[in-house]
Amino acid sequence: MKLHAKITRSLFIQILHDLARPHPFALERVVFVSFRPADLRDGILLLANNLHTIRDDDYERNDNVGAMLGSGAFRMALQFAYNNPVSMFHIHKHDHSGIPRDSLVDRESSVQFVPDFWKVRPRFPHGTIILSKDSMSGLTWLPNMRRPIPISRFTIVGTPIIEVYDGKHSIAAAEFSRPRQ
Amino acid sequence: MSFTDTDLLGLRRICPEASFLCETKKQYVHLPVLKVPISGVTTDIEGLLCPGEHSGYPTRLFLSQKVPGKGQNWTDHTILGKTWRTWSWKDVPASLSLTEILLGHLTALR
Repeated sequence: MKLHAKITRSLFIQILHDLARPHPFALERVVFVSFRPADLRDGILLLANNLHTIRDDDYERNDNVGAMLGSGAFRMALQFAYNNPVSMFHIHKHDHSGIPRDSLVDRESSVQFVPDFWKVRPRFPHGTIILSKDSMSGLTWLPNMRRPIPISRFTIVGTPIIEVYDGKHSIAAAEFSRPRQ
Repeated sequence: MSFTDTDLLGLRRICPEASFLCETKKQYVHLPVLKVPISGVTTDIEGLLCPGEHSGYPTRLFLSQKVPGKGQNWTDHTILGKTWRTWSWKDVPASLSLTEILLGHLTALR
């Protein structure tokens, strides 16, 4: 099964800007982005439709991780998924170049929180996306499947179109990390 | 319908201290710290979820305080020796999961 995520350039810029904002105590930021899923002949197309910014006071202090989301952040994301037919994706950024991989902490936490979205929006895929300075990767959990499936293709829809296949992008890194409006 | 500790697990993502309480054979879920956005600020409010029939509604969510400008026809109820406030919000059935019941009621406060 192939998973293809599409994000408009304007939304992608908003995501980058939000993740780059300093936080009073957290070392990094997280956002949720909702996607509308659609069946493809050989997989699923995920169309990004909304950025869900996390309020400063919905982060919790925790010296063991770069960013710890509190219950208010999850309530907001779960509430949106409850009220709208969407797939929810947790997005954060690793400050390096190359294909970003989930850390042990990333994987352990996503295994715990992703299934909670099925309690409010069952039968939809949900997951996580990690950005780097010049690439991105994602994992999608599907109902009734124990292991997540990697997102094999990302498309940033705009001018120029940016395609990321298996972590390798089609244009210069500078364009990826600082796309012009 | 009676909920079990397993049903609480998902709800604890929203309220980590959620626990069951009982009064006159009714099951409640105590939510000591429920984060509710009020006028753009996340505010901690104590909540009490009744995941079964209460006062003519299939399920109800009681709060320790009113949310200004949100919800309609607020009424006071004394439960477990404490006064709780709730608003008129129907059509959140008891057949849903605890998380869905809670979010169904919080929909009115968005």
